[in-house]
Amino acid sequence: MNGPTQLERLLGDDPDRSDGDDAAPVVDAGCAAGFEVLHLYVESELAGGDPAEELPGLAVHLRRCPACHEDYLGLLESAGRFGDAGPDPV
Amino acid sequence: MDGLQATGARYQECVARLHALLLRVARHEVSRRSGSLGLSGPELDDVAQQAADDALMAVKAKVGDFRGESRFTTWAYRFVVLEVSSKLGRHFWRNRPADLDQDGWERLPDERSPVPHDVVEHGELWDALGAAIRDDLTDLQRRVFVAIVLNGVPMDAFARELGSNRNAVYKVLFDARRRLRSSLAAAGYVAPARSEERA
Ligand SMILES: [Zn+2]
Repeated sequence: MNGPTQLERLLGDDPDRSDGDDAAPVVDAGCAAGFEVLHLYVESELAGGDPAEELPGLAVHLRRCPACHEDYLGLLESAGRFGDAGPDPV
Repeated sequence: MDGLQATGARYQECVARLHALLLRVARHEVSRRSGSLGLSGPELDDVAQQAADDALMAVKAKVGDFRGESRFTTWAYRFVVLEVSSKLGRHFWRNRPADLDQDGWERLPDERSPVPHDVVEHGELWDALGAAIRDDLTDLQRRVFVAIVLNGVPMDAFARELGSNRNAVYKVLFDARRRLRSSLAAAGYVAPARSEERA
């Protein structure tokens, strides 16, 4: 797989399709509910966990929502870089 | 971070230290995002300062919600990231044509990114997609889809322009995409089921 095609990028993933044959589609957490657990998602990822498994509703949302995805990238970077609150910056 | 529930000098010291941390993150985040905004150094630092100030207020207001399930810093930095996004949204429209959302879909298969390599009849597919954008979306859905997906306008910037919020814009975008999928399916094209890309 060479990553998402342009069409996938334009249309996002199918909200009505489930991952397995029997499973119901994962419910998209939405922006506000996603924000409430974004720190847990990021911590799990930084710890080498599987946040998409633990928080599937947020994983789905991050695939579809460019704004929350950008927040996620920012938090991942800052939590990794400045997570252990050292001495005050200059 | 018990200091946030302390009083007197200890509280003040804790708040000052937290503000410094938040400001460091805000500066980093502003610089990470500011690539195409054309803002000068002082303007960017202004955004970072405001974002850190507002994030500090949010952290103080919500510190009672912190359950210790993550590091406090990760929990708190969320507010910085959110504030930076919102504040940069304010600056986005400067130096940009006001009619950005009027069209754009006509330029669909442009040089922006490669044409899908798994779609043989991509010419027809783009025509069908263009027709669906033109004919099947509501005005609002079309504006949101064109601005955010085709023109890359940040959602928070667009929400601000609409006098709306991120959640509401996301809902419109979601509905627009679902509508386009169903239009393509009705026209005999199967849109990809899901991206393999990890969030
Ligand atoms: Zn979102």
